[in-house]
This record gives sequence, structure tokens and C-alpha cells, in this order.
Amino acid sequence: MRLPLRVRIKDVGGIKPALKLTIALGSAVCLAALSAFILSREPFAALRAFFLVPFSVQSTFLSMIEASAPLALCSLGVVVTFRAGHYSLGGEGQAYAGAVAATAIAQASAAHAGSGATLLAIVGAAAAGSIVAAIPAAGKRYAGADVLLTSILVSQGVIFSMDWLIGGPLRDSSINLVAMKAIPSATLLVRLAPPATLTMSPLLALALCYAGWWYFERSRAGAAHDMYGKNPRFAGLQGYNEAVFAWAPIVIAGALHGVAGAVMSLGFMGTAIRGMSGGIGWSAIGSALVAGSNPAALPFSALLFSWLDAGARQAAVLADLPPDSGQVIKAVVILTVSARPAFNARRTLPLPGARR
Amino acid sequence: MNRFLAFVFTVLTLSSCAKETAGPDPLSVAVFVPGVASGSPTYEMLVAGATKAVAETEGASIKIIEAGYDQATWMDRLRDTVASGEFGVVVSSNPSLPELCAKVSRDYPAVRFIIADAYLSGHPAIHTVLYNQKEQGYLVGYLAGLVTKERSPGKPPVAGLIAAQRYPTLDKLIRPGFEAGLRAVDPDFRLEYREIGNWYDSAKAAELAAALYGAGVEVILPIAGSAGQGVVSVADERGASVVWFDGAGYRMDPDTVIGCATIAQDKLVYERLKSALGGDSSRYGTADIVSIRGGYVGFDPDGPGYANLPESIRLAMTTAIGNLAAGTPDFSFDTF
Repeated sequence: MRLPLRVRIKDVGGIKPALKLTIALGSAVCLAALSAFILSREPFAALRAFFLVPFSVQSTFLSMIEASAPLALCSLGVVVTFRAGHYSLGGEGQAYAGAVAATAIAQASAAHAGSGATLLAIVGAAAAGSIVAAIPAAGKRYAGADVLLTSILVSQGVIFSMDWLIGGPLRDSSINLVAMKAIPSATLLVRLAPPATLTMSPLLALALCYAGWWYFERSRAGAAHDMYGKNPRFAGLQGYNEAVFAWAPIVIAGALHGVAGAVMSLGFMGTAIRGMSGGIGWSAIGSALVAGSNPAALPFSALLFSWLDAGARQAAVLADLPPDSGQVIKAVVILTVSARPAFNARRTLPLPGARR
Repeated sequence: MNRFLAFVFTVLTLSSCAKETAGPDPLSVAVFVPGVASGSPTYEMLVAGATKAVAETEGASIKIIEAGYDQATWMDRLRDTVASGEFGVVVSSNPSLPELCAKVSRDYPAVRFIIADAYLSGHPAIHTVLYNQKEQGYLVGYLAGLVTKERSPGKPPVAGLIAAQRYPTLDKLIRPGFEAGLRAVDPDFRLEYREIGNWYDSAKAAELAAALYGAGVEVILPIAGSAGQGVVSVADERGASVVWFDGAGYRMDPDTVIGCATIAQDKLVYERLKSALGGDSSRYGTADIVSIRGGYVGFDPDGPGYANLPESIRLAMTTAIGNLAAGTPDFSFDTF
């Protein structure tokens, strides 16, 4: 018997985040093993590369944690908007703008601001992400425009603009890579355990995720935020400021995406490369869904996705698994945790013939 | 929930105590393809040359790693390749690679890099070899000039160059070489340059080519990777012509592609890697420039498109190739 599935875009409540993470981890492990046997001619080498190498080689493991930081920050941005009922899909453009802004500011201020240039670059990146997000936010606040549509349109426009900036006026023409000039090494985030790429950014992501958890679970404003997300009119009747929730979560999410972009360019990459944000918006939405929109679970869902990327790359290097298999596994994991058998839903519907 | 998160955190913390692997095997070779080998003559030759060198070296092993076309992901993939600890030598081919290798090499100084079609001098772990692409550009420019003059004798002479993007090798070698070839035929030749913005958008390449052919251009040189297919398609529809870079262009369209400048990448990679696997480490830190005189740059006359050209053009090309090999004109240079 085939069970129809329904997909829950916004997921507050329902099964607990820990259970979701467990389901996601389990399905990821099964899918990775399956893909190793189906797609690779060296399945055991692929399995070893996917499951052991990311955890057994110290630099790979720590670099994997580093790679999870921007994803966790973007996922937190997704949770902030989704829990306010705004389905903003513009994260990638916001992160990309943040990365370009951070690189430009770090270069411009390195000589004058010293070690403060790093902080300045992060703040500037947050501002850049906020500005990009402010466009759909203003559309929602003043014209009631659909954030789902406007955010993705604005994001795509910003991606094209950043591509043009990096490939044109801001490009380092002395190198063959399409990238901006390298950020002076003194301005980059300090690497904690070379040769691993690990910096302080996972701790920053962890702190912000915990702050997000406290906001949603322990503060009155967080409760109002959730209430607005479920029913804006009811939140207004309760005396909460509807006007603020109509735009502020979108702009704050933009700032978080911008910081994620800064973390990428101020980390090992050390500059902004054309196309560097590719797929982070989509991955962040997936990570937020896997975490059940709970900020406390975001570092773990981001780490799960980071492992899928690192494991797939290792399996491509050490065996012959296609490197993009990690993306496919991610997609199936997202569907697995988001889709439920329809009989679950039918329980809440009235039976045929029942009085309404 | 909290207990679950604490458990996961503990597992991850313990995992981080894992040890680094021992030093890499100097006979273990990774061929890092910044793209996809199949269908790319340059990368197919890279793989063929490296495979031959490894096959002839006892105890050596090889692994082909395709990094795809997205430049933004190359750094991560190169880093993963090196960080795996499995490879002592990384062989690759792309002008962008030395910058990335130098960055990765700071963290993994034991790994050695041999990069063809690139230039970086003075890095102790990296050996690069640059083809004299000014000579390549000159050869196809000269052919484009001859064909244009033959087909449109009374018109102002003009040819086209459609590039994926600007980069130093294009700006300093390929384009000046192509222009020099055109102007060797007629000093009044004008070059129409257009840019696609990436290496894969064949639709945009086709659009640009259509505009150029529509404006009276007879021959276009695409330097655009897989996007070059778009130029060939439009040329085929309009009965116009294309000159090709780095070989195997006749395979795309035997009649439309009228000439191919070639590089002997397989020979070069084989020689350099074989020498490195044999224990010769003297080349690391050096950057060589190879040319038509060593047989590393040339012209492929074995295509129907070239065979169908008037004999006078083919004779003029043979003379030009001979002169270039003899040093006239002299495009040699020591640094880049």
C-alpha cells in the first residue's frame, strides 16, 4: 500500500528535535552506506572514507566543525524568519553579500584598524546581509508583499550583482582565480589548530544558537514571536506589536546570514571567490527543518550536513563516490524528516459523515 | 533533549582527539582535475600522461580526482585531497591552481605539486610549467587572418575572440598572440573581444557568436571551456568558421573547426612526473616555460576543416609554423 506524504514547511511542535536529529542521522548513515554500495566500485573504501576519515583524521574533523559554523548561523536565520511565519528564501544572497562586504571592509580597514578590522568586517557583513533582507521586509511591512517571492527575487539579483563585483571591479586581476584580493592574514580569524581550518567561528555560532534558544524558549518576546508566526492577528489582539514582527525577524535573519558570509571569507578561504555561497541557503533551510526549528539543535544538524559534505568529498578522494552524492543524501534526509505518512494527518481530520 | 545533546557533544569531543596520519607516500600520485576529464582534451592528456608515468614506475599508484567546474569548491576539494595524507604528489593543470596549492602547502609542506599550464616561481613545494600560449595564439590568429582575407577580400579585416572570463594568461599571452597572428596577415586587422562570464554557458557563448558573425566576422577563437560548443554550433549554422585552442577541436565539428593550436600536455606531464617519481626533486621551486621549439606547442593539421582550406592558405600556414619554430617571430620570455 502506498502512503501519500505531506511535507511540513514550517515545523514548530510535532516530533521532538532530538528524535528528528536521530531520524536524520539514521537516514543519512543508511543512505551513505547505500550510495557507497550502489555508486562506487570500491564500496568498502568509500564506506571507510565516508564514515571513518572525517572523524579519525584530526585536521579533517576540526575543519568539518569549522564548515558547520556558517551553516549553523544561516540555519538560525531561517528559524528566526520561519518562526515568525515569514518564509524567506533569500538566505544565499544575504550570505554572499556579507562575504563580499566583509572582504572589502577587511581590506580597506586592515591598515588603520589593526585587529579591530576583523570585528569591523563582521559588523559590516551583518549590515550588508540586513540591507539585502530589508528589501523584502519593507515590502512585507508597507505593501503586504509575499516574502517567499520577494526574498528569492532579491536574493537572485544580489547573487548576480556580487558575481559581477567579484568578477569585475573588485577582482584581483593579478591572479587567475575569479576572486577578490586576499585579506591580510593578520585580519583573518585566528586558526586554533593548524593544519585544520578551525577558528572561533563554531563557538560564535554555538553562542548565537544558544541565545536564540533562550530567546524562543525563555523570553516573553520569543513567545510573542512564535505567537505572531502562528496567528498574527491573535498576537495583535494580545497587545504585541504586529508591525515590528512584520519586518524585524527578516532583517535579523539577514544579519545572521551576513555574519555567516563573513565567517566564510575571514576563515581559511581568506577572500571572496565567485560562487562561494552556492547552496548555503538551501542547506540552511534543510538544517533548520532537521533541527525542528529549535535553535539548540541547530549546531548538531549543521554538523550533520557538514559531515555529509566532508564524507562525500573524502569518499570521492579516497574511493570513487561522486562528490555531489552528499547533496543528494542531504535532500533525501530533508524529505525523510519533513514528510510524514498521511494517516498521521488524517487522525486530525473529521471522519466522513461526522458532524462538523 | 539536553541529555541527548550532551551525549552527541561528548562523542564529538572524544573524536577530536584522533591522531593525524603519518607522512604521505612520495610514490602515491593524485591527479587533481579542476573540471571533468572526459570531453576535455587538456585534462584527458593530463590524466594520460600521469597514468603512463605511474605505470612505468614500480610501486607508484595513482588516483584521479575530478573537482568539477565550480572554482569556489576547488579549494575545499584540493585541501581534502592533501589532508587525506594519502598522496605525496599532486599533479594538475590550470592557471588558477598554483595560488590554491601554495595556500594548502603552508599547512601540508611534505606534499609536492606539479602544475602544468600555470606559472608560479620560487615555491619550494611547487613545480609549474607554462606553455608559450603567445605562440599558440599566433598560429590560430595567423590562420584566422588568412581565411578572413580570402573570404572577404574587400571588407575591413576583423576577427573575434570569445573568452569565458579575463585572466592573466589570456590578457598577457593568448590575446596578444592572436592579435599578432592577425596583424602578421594584415596590420589593419581589428579584434572583436567578447566575454561570457563563466566556462559553461554555451547559450550565452552562442548569443555572442551570433552577434559577431552577424557583424561580418568570419572566424572566431573561443577560449571558453565547454561553453565553446555554443560558438561552434552557431558557426556551423551560418557556414562560418572557428579556430580552436589546446587541440581536439576537429572532434566537435570536423568542417566548422578549421584549425587547432595544440599543446603536448601528455608528453609534458609524463616527463615531469616520471622524473619526480624517479627521485629528482630539483624541479620543485622552479617554473618552466615551454614552447614550439621543444615540441610542446604546435598546430594540428589533421582535420577535414583544415584539409578543405585552399592550398595557398595551407602552404602559408606551413611556412609560418616553420618560421615560428625557427624563432621568427620570437615570442620567447623568461618570466611571467
